[in-house]
Amino acid sequence: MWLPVVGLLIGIFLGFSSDLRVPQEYSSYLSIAVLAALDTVIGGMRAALQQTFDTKIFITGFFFNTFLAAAIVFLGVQLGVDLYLAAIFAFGVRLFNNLAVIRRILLARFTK
Amino acid sequence: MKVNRFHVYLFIVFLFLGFLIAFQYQFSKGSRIDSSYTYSVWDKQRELQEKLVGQKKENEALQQQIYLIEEEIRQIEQEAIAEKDTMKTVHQKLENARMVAGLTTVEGTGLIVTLNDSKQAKTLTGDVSSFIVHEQDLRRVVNELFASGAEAVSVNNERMVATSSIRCVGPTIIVNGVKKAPPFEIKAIGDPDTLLSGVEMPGGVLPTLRMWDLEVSTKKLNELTIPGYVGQAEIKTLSEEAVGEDNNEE
Repeated sequence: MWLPVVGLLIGIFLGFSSDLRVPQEYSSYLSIAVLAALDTVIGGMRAALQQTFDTKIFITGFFFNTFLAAAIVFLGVQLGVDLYLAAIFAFGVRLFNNLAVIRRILLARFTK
Repeated sequence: MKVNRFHVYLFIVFLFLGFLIAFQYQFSKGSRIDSSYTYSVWDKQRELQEKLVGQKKENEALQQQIYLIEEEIRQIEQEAIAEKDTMKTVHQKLENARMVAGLTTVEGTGLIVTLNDSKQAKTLTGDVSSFIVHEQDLRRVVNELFASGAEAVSVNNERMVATSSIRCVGPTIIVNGVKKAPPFEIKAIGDPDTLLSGVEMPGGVLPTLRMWDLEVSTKKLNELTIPGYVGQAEIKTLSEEAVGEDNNEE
């Protein structure tokens, strides 16, 4: 299990060390992307705990969700609708659902 | 160590996740700096506002000062007006003095006495001296007019002043250093009736002159203008007596 942790650390290091500046108007894209990635990872954890984890689904879900989130925000900007709120809402709800499921599984496992 | 393929995928995913999270964190921190920058802008704004308030207070103080100074100016102006009044009085006095001294053209009610040589003087041969106007006749008339209360007298528009002279030079008479010939028009400002009775006094000037058959006429006027003295009063030896000094030299 050490490899993903190393990956996480390297990613954090890269993120901190990069002095890439994103213009203000693209900040919402980034935040949605982060949310999508988090959602996918949490979803992956849940799937793993439920023994339904599929690597392909996880990997494609991760990138596709991130990309889709950014695309939705882009569409919202083009249409003048705050669609990123919808994305945040959807991802947030899913995030909490997944976390609740994980909690229950872990709870059931420990109380067993 | 066995490297699971699954772990490699996870590695990639977590790499991205870490990168995104770190990047976003950094970004939001940057925007926090931005927001703190706006705070500093607010601070600056507040500072400027305080400065503005201070300036306004200062303005008020200055306005107060202006008000006080204006008050002072008003006071000074009042004083100046009062001073002006005294100036006016002085000016008035000066004007009066000038009038009395005969330096200004004056007007008022008065009398005109006209003297002319007797008609006999033109037809007579021999000594006509008795039938022409002499300087002493003029002097007597002028004298009588002054005695009757004339305030200003002129002979042929030559104002009689303190230094005036009437002199005889051959066939003409010099008044104030200017040659004059008959007829002589003597103007006097004063009460016309008093002046007239003065000069027409029985045994007085005019009756005597008439006795010599000189042409004498008088005319009372309600409005008479007498010009001021034109010459210059030169002061060479005069000097004002020092006030308060004992002058008991006998």
